[in-house]
Amino acid sequence: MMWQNYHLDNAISKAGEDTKLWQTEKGIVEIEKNTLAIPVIMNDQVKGYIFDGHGKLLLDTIVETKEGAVGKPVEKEIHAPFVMLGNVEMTGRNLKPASSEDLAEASYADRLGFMAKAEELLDRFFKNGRIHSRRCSYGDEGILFAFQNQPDNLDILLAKDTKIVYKAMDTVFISDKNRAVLKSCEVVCVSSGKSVVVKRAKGCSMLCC
Amino acid sequence: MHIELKTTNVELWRLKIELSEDIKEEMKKLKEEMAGLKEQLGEMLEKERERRHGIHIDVGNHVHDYVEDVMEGVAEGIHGELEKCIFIGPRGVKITRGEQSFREEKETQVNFPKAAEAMSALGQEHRLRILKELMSGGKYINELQEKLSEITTSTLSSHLKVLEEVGLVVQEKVRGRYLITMPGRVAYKMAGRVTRFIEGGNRE
Repeated sequence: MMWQNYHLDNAISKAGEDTKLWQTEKGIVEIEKNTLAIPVIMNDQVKGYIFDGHGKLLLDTIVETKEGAVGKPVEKEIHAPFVMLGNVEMTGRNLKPASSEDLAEASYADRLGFMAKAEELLDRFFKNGRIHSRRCSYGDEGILFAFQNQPDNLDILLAKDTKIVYKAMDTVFISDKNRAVLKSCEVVCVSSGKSVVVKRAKGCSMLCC
Repeated sequence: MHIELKTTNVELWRLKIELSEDIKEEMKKLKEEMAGLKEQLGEMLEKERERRHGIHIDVGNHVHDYVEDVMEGVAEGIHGELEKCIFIGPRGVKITRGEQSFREEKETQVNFPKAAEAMSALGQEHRLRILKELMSGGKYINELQEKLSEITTSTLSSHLKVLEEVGLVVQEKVRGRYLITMPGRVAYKMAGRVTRFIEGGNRE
């Protein structure tokens, strides 16, 4: 799936109610009512959305070991536009057409303003994002989020069933059932379910997880 | 006269050559004798060693090198396995090789404010009981409430908050379970050890 095949639709929608875009035992991504959404199209099919509004990311980047839990949960308020690829059917059901008042409420003069911003993000995600510079192969059953944390950085969350990959500026978390890898600014933890290796991350003077 | 002198010189050269050949021959014999003596000495030492320590088998350098290679392989394997195995203690497992010291003991540096904070959090019976319950695995607040029925829900929540603030306990954001952290386990074990020492001291 090459990024060139993706483009934005021009039908702007909004969330009819508070919606959980993704929810598992480990994490939740939710958007508030009236969050704007624009479909991402590939081969005339909706493959995802770009959202702009208020939302929240909760992710338990915690590794349970016999020696104690390692890591801290991630709790982030989302205020900037973000990309979601996958889970389109369920999301689409909770969307309804957005009016010019909805756009104005989100500080956009018109639909073109929102589309330009969304296009800029999509462009960054596929062209400049280090992970996705060549191709995006999240798979049809999985779900992928790209959140903006800083102008040059995107936090990536990939999930499929029990599998989770989360990459943020200071955290890398890979988890599947009872196996997990966590690298934060404080600690590096690898757990196979049976054994675990924990090391202090470079530059951290104390193991303060 | 001139012819006589010339003849004498030739004789002298011949003598010199013969003499040097004799010396060479002698040296060769001496070397052979020395080698024989060395061999005899080796055999004598061997017999002496056998007499003192039983049978001695000289495995030679090849076997020695082979054993060294095998040991290096075993060391590599252990090193790899250690990297995969369990970490114990807040400093982690330190693996060193060769002539490095196994563990350089350094003076323990204590972050006093942080330590005081943690000790203060531990200094409450109910909190120690909470940690004990969490030692067996993550629990929801209602599960803790069942186990610690003498503590009211609001008190339990405030204790959990204190433990969470100092990093002895962590709460999952999605499921809401409370988990004891690595420092939490260490702190609880430490509390147990200190108590045992004190109790032991009092008995004496």
